Amino acid sequence: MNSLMEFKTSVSHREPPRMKNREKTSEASFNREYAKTVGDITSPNPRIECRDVNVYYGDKHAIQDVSLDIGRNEVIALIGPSGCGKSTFIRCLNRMNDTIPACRVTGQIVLDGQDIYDGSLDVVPLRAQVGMVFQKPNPFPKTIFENVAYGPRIHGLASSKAELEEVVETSLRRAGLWDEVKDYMHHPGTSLSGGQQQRLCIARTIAVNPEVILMDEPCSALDPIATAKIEQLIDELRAHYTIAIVTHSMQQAARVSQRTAYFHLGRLIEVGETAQIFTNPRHQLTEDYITGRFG
Amino acid sequence: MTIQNEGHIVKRFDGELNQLHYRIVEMGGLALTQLKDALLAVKNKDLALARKISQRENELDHLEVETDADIVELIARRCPVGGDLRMVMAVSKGVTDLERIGDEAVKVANIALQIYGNDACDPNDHLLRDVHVMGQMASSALEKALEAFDRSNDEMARDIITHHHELEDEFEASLRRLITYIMEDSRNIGFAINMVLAIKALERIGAHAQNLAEYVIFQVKGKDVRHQNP
Repeated sequence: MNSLMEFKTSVSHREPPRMKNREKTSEASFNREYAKTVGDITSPNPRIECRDVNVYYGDKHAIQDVSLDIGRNEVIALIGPSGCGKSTFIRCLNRMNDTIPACRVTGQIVLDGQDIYDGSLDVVPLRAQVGMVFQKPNPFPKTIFENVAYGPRIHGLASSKAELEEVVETSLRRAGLWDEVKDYMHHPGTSLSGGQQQRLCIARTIAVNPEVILMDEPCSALDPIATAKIEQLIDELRAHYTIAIVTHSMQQAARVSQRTAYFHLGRLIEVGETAQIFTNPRHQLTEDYITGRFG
Repeated sequence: MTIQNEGHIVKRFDGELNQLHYRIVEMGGLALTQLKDALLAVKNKDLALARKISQRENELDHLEVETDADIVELIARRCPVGGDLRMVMAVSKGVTDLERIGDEAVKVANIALQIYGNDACDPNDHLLRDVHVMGQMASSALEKALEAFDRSNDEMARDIITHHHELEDEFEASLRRLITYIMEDSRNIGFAINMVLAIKALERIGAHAQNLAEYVIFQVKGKDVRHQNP
């Protein structure tokens, strides 16, 4: 028979890929092998510069020697398996880890030229400057209006009622929520749907004029339509703010971000342009994670 | 970036990628068979074999359509990224080249029917030698490209690209010989045209084999080397 059969016999019938028996990698050997981040950690004209950041929860070394710039007006996605340190890392960027007694942070995190871990720094305005949106929408038990007005009021950002109302409307418009709630401003924030509540939380965050918005899995509790609306909002907000988003959805990271950083066991393994990370990652661990070969 | 040997956590995804791989191996094997049989038909004046090639062309077309459907479904369901995405894109493009190779093989078979059929013109064995030589080169390039694809071997692929100019040089030399043949006696024109079409088809097959090699490099290295000098 013919060369078709010969060809198929000679080069096909390849055994399906088998899982190699991975040798258990010790933490020490892992740290030695993957000490250096692959890719360019720097960004031109960065908003935040992190250098040699280490985080300890008691004896647990949760973040190890991470250096990374967060670029101005970019969306950077932080991805990695559960427990890799991505949420711990972004919580360092506005000192939310200060609320955990056993947590200790070393290294340098500089926001617009100022070290945010300088002992003289007031964390309250820092947390207005670097706002945060959490996984589960958490509106205050107040009206929709008060949810957004609360921050500007306590920070003294509005000198009159009219100015406060203008801040609230602008924030809700920017969050893509104004048209849906403008006739219900005195209804409770908790009466909104999940997706609307999350947009309310984003409006609350931007009402205090942040420079950076941190988002920790902002869509994981939302349905696909609400998620799409948040992603559209992220795209619009980029014009005004720098955004760092932690997400378990690689497709979301690929859709919304310009740069992507992959974390693994507390280390920053690789960082790069999102298109490059998802088409041709340079590190085998990154390739394995994004292709679903391990989690 | 190294080639993945290990499976996905979702095993069905492994199966789907393997299915794609086997499809292109199957198409490649069929395209190669079509080409070799077409050259045999010319060499051995085998009209029955030449007719069989035309009849078998449907199988390649059918495989192309099926593979494209599989690829669309895989992209929709799995959203492949990284090396998986590059593999899917390489197969998607490779399938088109293999279908075209099948078309070119049919052209060569039809030329055999022309020159050896009822209204046959007088075949010139000396010029037929050009078809045999170019046919051998095209077959060899295609076989190597398919092996490079199967083994994800980018070095083998680079070798194919580097040596592609030899087929191009042979094509130009054959054309010059054909022109001389026509100039010697214009009654030779009928046969000469068939020869031009045959060697042109073989030159195209060589080009498609080079394309396959370029897709292998893209799949393995993530580097697009199309339209570059070797």
